[in-house]
Amino acid sequence: MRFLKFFLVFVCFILPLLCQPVSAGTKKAKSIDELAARYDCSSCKECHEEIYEQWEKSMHSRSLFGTGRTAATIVTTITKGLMTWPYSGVKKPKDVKVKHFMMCAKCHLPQLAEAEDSVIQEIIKIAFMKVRTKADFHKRREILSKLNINCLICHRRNAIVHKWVDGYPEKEKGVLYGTRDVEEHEDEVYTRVKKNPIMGESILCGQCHGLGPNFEFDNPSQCASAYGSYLFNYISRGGSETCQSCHMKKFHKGHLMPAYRDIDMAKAAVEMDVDVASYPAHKLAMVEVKMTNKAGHNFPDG
Amino acid sequence: MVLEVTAKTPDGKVIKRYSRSFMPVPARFGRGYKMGRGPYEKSGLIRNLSLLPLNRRTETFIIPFYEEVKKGRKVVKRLLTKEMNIDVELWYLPFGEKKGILWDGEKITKAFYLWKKVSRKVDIK
Ligand code: HEC
Ligand code: HEC
Ligand code: HEC
Ligand code: HEC
Ligand code: HEC
Repeated sequence: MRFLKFFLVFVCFILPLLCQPVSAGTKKAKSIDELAARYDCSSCKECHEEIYEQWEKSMHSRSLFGTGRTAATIVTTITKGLMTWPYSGVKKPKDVKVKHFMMCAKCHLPQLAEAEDSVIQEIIKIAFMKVRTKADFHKRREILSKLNINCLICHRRNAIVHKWVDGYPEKEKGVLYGTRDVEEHEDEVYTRVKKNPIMGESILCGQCHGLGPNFEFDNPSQCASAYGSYLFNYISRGGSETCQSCHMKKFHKGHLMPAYRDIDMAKAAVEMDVDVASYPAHKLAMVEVKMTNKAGHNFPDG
Repeated sequence: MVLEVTAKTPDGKVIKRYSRSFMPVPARFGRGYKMGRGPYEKSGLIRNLSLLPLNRRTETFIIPFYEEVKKGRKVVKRLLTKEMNIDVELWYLPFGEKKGILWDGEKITKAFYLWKKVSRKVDIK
């Protein structure tokens, strides 16, 4: 009887607790492919073709690879960082867990929080891969790019910053967040779009584009700080444009969201004037270079 | 970001070359005066040498038309030219130097970009 009671309690109360959904009503992903499948946005391409193609060329579509530097720095984070620190608990790459890598994944792959340690181990294996040929280069790039910041990150997972005010995206089944309400959205899985009050606001980008040290970690990291300099140097000096207005709208770049490698952005970024004068008596030339940063933040960003 | 100023004679011989870097300088683990290496070490700022938004930054270069040479125990000025061509170049160097390759989203390209170039003549004739 006692056993039965315990058994019933276990089945009815404890078991469901143990199997509690971690997020989005599912268990943690065990592999790169499983995590990628959960954030699969290939269906969006059919109807939002132009946006999809812009995004595919953007840095957001390869946030673990970047220009190649990101993948390289994942390696040094482990070999020159984690493995050298006495209290990190990491002696060799095999010891790296999701909790260690969140200091990068917070912004480069926020959905890693929904993955088991086996996923970061798989990422590390690819990041450490020896690249001898062009084929190796592309193989490493393609596998690392399976995980990225895609439509489902900005329009769902990370769409809301103030969750007590606007709600928890993971609790809203089949909902995307956009610039307006779409009651019947044609996608098979995401059948509704809710108006997101911050879709056009800098804070949406700010959650990943950095304020300075990431103090929430046992060992803070610091990477991008464009949002910090946007607030404290740009807004503070009277600037009033948003990230979206310069990076998406002004030059019609949309979801490409480009920076220094884009000619239009480069032209818009700095104005440079050169003035020369000479002083014949002392046989000197005086050259004055005046540079004006017209971006919305420090330039370059550290 | 690197500003390079090169002074040349009218026939192209380089007389002087100056280079100034612009970037934020984050501290290593938020302490001391040493810059951190990667994002895993960086915390805080020791200097901010980047260009600030909505702000004009003026860099001045005083460039002699002469060179200093030793003549016995004295140092004397020897005129090199009466006219110079000044090339001012602004480079974007993600790796900090003019080398390396990167993936631009479609292909492998060089990792250094000449952003702006202005040339001026100046003389003491
Ligand atoms: C079968 C076609 C179809 C698919 C698939 C589809 N969409 Fe849409 N989507 C539309 C149409 C059409 C609209 C405009 C609806 C309207 O205006 O009533 C729209 C609107 C939206 C909006 C709102 C637009 C705004 O102004 O903010 C967002 C966001 C969006 N889609 C994102 C996505 C994402 C992300 C995916 C993939 C998960 C996706 N869509 C898949 C057809 C589709
Ligand atoms: C606060 C969010 C955030 C954190 C945390 C973060 N990054 Fe970044 N990182 C970014 C953003 C945003 C960019 C791109 C924009 C920029 O450089 O300003 C970037 C750029 C980079 C780049 C240059 C990209 C390239 O391909 O040229 C590297 C390398 C990099 N990050 C590595 C890391 C590593 C490794 C970690 C962890 C130790 C990390 N980042 C932590 C947000 C972050
Ligand atoms: C880095 C964040 C980010 C990613 C990734 C992203 N979006 Fe957006 N998207 C935005 C923002 C911000 C806006 C609103 C821009 C504005 O203020 O008009 C937007 C607007 C839209 C709109 C409505 C405006 C329009 O141009 O029609 C659609 C539809 C859309 N996104 C679909 C997608 C799809 C599909 C993907 C994946 C291929 C995607 N987005 C990926 C941030 C993102
Ligand atoms: C979920 C985190 C996240 C969000 C949200 C986000 N970004 Fe990013 N963004 C990144 C990361 C990470 C990188 C760098 C990827 C790399 O190089 O590895 C990046 C890179 C960039 C770059 C550099 C592109 C280049 O070609 O060098 C720009 C510009 C940018 N983001 C703009 C935006 C804007 C504008 C928004 C808001 C609409 C936004 N981002 C939202 C994480 C994010
Ligand atoms: C007034 C226009 C403007 C605004 C506002 C603006 N940017 Fe930029 N941004 C630019 C220009 C121009 C560049 C190209 C220069 C460069 O690469 O630094 C740029 C470059 C960048 C880069 C690449 C930085 C680097 O050093 O490589 C990132 C990342 C970025 N912006 C993110 C953002 C984010 C996030 C916001 C909002 C918090 C924002 N930008 C607001 C104009 C703007």
